[in-house]
Amino acid sequence: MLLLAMPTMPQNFMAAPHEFVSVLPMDPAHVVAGRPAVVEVHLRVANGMHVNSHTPSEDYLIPTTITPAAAAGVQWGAVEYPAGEMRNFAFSATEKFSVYTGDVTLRLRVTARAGEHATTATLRYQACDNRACYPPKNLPVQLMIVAK
Amino acid sequence: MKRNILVAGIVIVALAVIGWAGVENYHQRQVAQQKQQELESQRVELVPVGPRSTDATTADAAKGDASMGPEMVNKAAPEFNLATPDGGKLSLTALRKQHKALMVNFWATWCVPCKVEMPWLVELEKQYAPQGLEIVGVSEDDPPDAADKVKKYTAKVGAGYPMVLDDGSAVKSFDVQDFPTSFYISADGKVVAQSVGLVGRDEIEANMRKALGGK
Repeated sequence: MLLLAMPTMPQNFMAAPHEFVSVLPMDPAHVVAGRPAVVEVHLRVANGMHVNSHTPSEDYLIPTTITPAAAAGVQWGAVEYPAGEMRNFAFSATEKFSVYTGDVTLRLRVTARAGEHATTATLRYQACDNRACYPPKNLPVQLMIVAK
Repeated sequence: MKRNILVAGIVIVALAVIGWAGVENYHQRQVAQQKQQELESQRVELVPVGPRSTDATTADAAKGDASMGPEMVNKAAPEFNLATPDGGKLSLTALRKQHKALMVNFWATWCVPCKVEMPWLVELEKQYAPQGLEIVGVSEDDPPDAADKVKKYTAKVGAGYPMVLDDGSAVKSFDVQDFPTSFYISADGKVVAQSVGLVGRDEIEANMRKALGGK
């Protein structure tokens, strides 16, 4: 399996107000056509913020997910999410939550036919800081795969 | 004769020195005054960051906090007419007709800080309901299962006060971006206090008293 740091075109790097997660600039991912590969999407959670991990501690919490869109010639496999860090916060001195902070890498398994494939994925997250939470957000992620 | 000329000369020199000193002193005072005026014109008033909870007297100080959004304090509370988890409808007008004062609490089941304060609200609602206060929770949970989530959680914590499910209109008209956010509405329909984010129980209680007309 090929492991490729993928990133696409620069996007969302400058977080707008209340954009708590940015997708770091990415170059096109070069993969071998017809062979399984991994595409990495690098996220940055704004300083002082946290988002729930993919496997939150409680079922009422909204997990971080990335969902690639279906695209001709691209076969998406499972997404590998990093483990969350167990942390407590000012509002939960005794209870710990599984969260992401800082830089986070999501690994998307993909097999692509030969050619250039411009596609998208949707990142869904729900962020909080030490005193408040913010509504869940869907952030579009542009992906460019070049398979030869 | 020579002595008189010498004395006169000394006197003239002395007078000249005194005169020069006076002019120099006047000049230095003018320069100092000008510098003071320049400093005054450049002076920046440093004010403390506004508190999370604002009332009519502190609203201006809180405007420096970008996360607060436009202040609702001293303004008429926006109307809403939203679905309840049981399928009914509930409006702010209807609540105001039945109660002297209201606390409108924006929350969601995915919001842990909101859940920290909810048991306090349950207690305070029991304490102040006899004086005419009612709490209404405005849930920001998304459909289609918002009603089920709200009913399940409020039953768990024993929150018996009214709940409505926001369709996006209330959060917009109240300009809420942070959760929890609460508005305290007095008998005349005006917002008398607003709190953004998790604040202490005492602060919530103080705001409730204010809405009831206390200080």
